[in-house]
Amino acid sequence: MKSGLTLGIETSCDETAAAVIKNGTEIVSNVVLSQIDIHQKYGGVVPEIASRHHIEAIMPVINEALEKAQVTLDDIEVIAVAYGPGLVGSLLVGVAAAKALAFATGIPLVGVNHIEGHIYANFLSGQEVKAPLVCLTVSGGHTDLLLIPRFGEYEILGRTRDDAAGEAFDKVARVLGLPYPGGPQIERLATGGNREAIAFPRGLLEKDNLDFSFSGLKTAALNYLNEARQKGQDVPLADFAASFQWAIIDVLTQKLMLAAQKYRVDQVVLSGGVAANSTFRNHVTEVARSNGMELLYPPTHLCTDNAAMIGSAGYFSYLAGKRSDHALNAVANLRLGEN
Amino acid sequence: MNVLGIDTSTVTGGVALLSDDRLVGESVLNIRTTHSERLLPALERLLADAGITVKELDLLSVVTGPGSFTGLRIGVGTAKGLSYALGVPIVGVTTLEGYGWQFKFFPGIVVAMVDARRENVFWQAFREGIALVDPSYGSHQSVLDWCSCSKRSEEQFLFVGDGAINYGEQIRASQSVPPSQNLLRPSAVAHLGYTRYLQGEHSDAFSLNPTYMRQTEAERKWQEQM
Ligand SMILES: [Zn+2]
Repeated sequence: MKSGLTLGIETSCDETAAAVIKNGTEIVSNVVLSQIDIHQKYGGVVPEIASRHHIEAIMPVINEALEKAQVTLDDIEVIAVAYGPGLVGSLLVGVAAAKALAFATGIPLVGVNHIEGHIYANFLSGQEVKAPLVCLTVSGGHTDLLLIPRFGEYEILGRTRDDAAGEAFDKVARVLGLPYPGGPQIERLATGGNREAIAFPRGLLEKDNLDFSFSGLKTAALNYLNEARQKGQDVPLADFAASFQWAIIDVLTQKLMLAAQKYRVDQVVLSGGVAANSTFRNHVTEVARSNGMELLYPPTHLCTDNAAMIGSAGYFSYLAGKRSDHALNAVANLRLGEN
Repeated sequence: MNVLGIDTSTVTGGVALLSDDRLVGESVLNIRTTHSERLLPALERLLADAGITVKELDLLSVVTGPGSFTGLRIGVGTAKGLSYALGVPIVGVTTLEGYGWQFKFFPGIVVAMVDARRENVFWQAFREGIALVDPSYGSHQSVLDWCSCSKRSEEQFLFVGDGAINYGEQIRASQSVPPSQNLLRPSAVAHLGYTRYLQGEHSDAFSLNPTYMRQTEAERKWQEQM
C-alpha cells in the first residue's frame, strides 16, 4: 500500500516504543513506554529485566500506536525496526515481532541503525535539515561524531574510546546517590554552581583528534568525592556538579566545532539523550552562532529513545531501496554504515 | 485447521505444521545459528513445501519455557507478531508439558528435566501425558528423592529432556532415550496446543508470555538485601 505510512519499532534499551510516521517527516502517533522506574532501584538498566518487560509490552505498544494513528496494519507501507546497536536481548524482541508482522502481512521490512535513528529525530520537528552536516550523537551508550555528506551516507569522524558521555553522568550520579538516569539529575544539581570551581581533566583535546575519552574525567570526579569523604569534608555539590558537567560540555563542544570547521559545514546537529541537556544546548548554540554556523537539535521528547525516529530513518532507507529479509538479526555493536 | 508449532527453548528447535491432527511437515535443526536468523526462514520453507500461505494458518502453539530466556523470547515474540497480524489464537505450552505429551505412551512415569545449570533442573512428572506434580525448580537429587518415595518405588521411570542427559550419571537412569529422540519435537508442541485449543484453551498476542520459572539474578540479589 502506497500510503507513505511507516510503522517504527524500537526496543534497543529500556524503552518499548512504536510510532506511525507519514512520509518520513510527520508524526501520526508516537508511543513510548519507559522502564526507567523499574531499573532505578538497580542503579542502571538490567538487561534481563529489560528484555522481560519488552516481550510483555511489545504488542500492546504496537497496537496503541496503530490505534492512536487510527490505522491498521493494512494501511502501513513499510515496517522499520531498530536492530542495533543496543542490548541484544532487548533488540531481539522488537526484531522478532517486526519480522513476524512483516512476514504475515507481506509489508516490506527495513532494519534501522539506532544511532542513525537519533539523527533523523531532527527531521520530525519541521526543521530544514541540509547536507552536508556534522552530527554529534551523545547518549548513555554513545558518543559519536559523524559527517553526513549526503543523506543515507555517513563517515565516522570520531567516537569515544572508553565511556560514553551519558555513562559518565550516570556513574557519577550513582555515587552521589542520585537516581538513574544521571544526566538530568546532575544538571539540576549544577544549577547556581560555579563551573570553574573544580578543574577536572579533559581527555584527548589535542588538535585534529576527534575521538573522545571520559574515563579520566569520571575517575577524577569519583576520586574527588572519595577524598572529601575520607577527610570528612562536605562536597560543594552545586559547584561539583557544575564543574563536572562543564568538563563534558566543553569537550563535546570543542570537538564538534573542530569537526565542523575541518569539513566546512554550515549546519551542525545534535542527537541522543544528552542533547536534551539545556546547558549543553545553549552553550553549543552560542558557540555555533559565533562561528557562523546553525545548530539543530530535536525537541526534548525526541532526544531520548523513541520509535518515531526509527520510522523516519526507515522510511528514507526504504525510499533508497533498502530492504531487510526474514533472517534479520539483532546486532549489539552495530556500527553506522554496516549492514 | 492449519496448526503451527514453534519451539525455540534450546539450541535445537524449529517449526511443525499440522492439518488438524495430521502432521504435514516438520523442521528441526540442532545447530548453533540463532533462532532469530533461522526461525522465520524455516517457517517460510515449510509453508512453501506444504503449499499453503501464512495467511492460511489458523492456530499457533508455542513453547513458553522453561529454557533459554533469549530463545523463548524469539519464539514468543514471533508467535505474538504472527497472531496479531493474522488475527489467530495462540496456545502456550511449557517445555515440560511438551515432553510429557511426546512420551505419553511410556507405560510408567515420564520425568521431564530441563537443565537450569549448577546441578539444578526445572522438572515435572507425567503419566500418560497428565501432570502428576506442579512444575518445580530444584537439584537433580530432589527429583530422585521424589521418584524413590515409597509409594512410587515399584514404578518404571523415563527421564527425558536435556537435564536427563546432562545429569545422566547423577540420576543413574535405568531407562534412557537416545539423544536424537530426546529432543522436544515441534510436532508434539503443535499436537498438544491443538488438543488444548479443542478443549477451549487459548491466549492471544497480548496476554501470552514466556514462563521463566525463575526471577532474574538482579531481582534475587535485591530481595536478599531487603
Ligand atoms: Zn538511543
